[in-house]
Amino acid sequence: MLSLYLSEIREDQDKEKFRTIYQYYEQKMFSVAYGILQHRENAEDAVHDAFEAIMGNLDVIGNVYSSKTWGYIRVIVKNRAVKIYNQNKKRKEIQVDDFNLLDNLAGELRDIELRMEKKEISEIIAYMVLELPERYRDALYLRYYNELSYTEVAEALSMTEDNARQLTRRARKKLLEKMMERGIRYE
Amino acid sequence: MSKEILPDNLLKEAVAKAWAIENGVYDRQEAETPEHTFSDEYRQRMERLSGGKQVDSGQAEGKTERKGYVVKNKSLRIKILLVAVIVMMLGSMTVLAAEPLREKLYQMVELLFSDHTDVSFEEVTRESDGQDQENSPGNFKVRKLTKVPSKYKKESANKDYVFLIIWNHILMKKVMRCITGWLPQRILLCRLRPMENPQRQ
Repeated sequence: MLSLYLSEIREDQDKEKFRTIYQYYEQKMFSVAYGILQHRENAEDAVHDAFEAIMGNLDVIGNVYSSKTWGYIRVIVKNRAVKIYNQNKKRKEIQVDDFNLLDNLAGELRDIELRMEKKEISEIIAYMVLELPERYRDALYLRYYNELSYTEVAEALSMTEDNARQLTRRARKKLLEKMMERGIRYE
Repeated sequence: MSKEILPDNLLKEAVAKAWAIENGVYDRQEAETPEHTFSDEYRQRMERLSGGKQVDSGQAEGKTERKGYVVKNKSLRIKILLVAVIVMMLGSMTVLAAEPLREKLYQMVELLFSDHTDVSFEEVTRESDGQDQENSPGNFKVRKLTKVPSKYKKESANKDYVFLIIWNHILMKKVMRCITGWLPQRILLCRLRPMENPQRQ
């Protein structure tokens, strides 16, 4: 009886949380999806798919308005949009591994050499993170920014837990290689 | 090795900074994207996703007023209900598949709804007749324990039965017959104790 009562409360809380997310992030999510797909209907599909995924993982979301929540939602909607993008195969020349929204939007992010002279090490590494492919970045964001478990990362990226673990490991390895290429060592 | 060069705390710090930088790019992109009016098809799908109940939503953080959707998180309840129904169906099928159980079920129905139920089985009737005859007080038999298992002894040689139960209550009789197919007249119990040193005997 008590558990039923608690589940009822929880359900109400979840309803409220989902409603808030829906109101607050719908346009932002559309903007992310549209940036990738450049197609309104497909972007709506991506937003819908993302909401579907979010609905099943409301526990992951704490404060709805926090940057971490937006980070999590952004990764999910981006992931769904890229999936639709690949399914449509209208732009076959761009593979998902090479796809990087930042390439189109912010070329200035790539001039790391300039920034290295005056920035602290974490910032230099941050710019190196931005050089990584989207998939690697997303895995790192979910794991180290949102501090999710590999199971939760896997659910967000719609892949198996093993793949999520491997993706994160590869991202980290790739980042390390970049650091070594530039002779950056952390003492 | 990688952990020595790139410790978790440094990576977390760097990733947070990277996220903030990337977020700035997305903010710019969002500012450039005109507000989108979602299609009716999308709204319908969202309505279905949220369980079909649409409610008016208030303003949230300066956003224009839009319609929100209530999440009807019924999936768990539906799953539990489905499992319960399946278990009940399997149980019913098992009961109805076995003839003795089926008969007992009918008898139980008859017992519980005796006012307006009439189920009869010839075998049961015959058995019942016999038992009624046996139930008459004159037919009581005293049964004594004749064989004592090895390494055990009787608690008392004179008291070879401890108590006698006579089922007088008609409902109890019926229930017992339905459950066990056996109408107990009396139960003779003899307490047996393991012998402390069986080799002595």
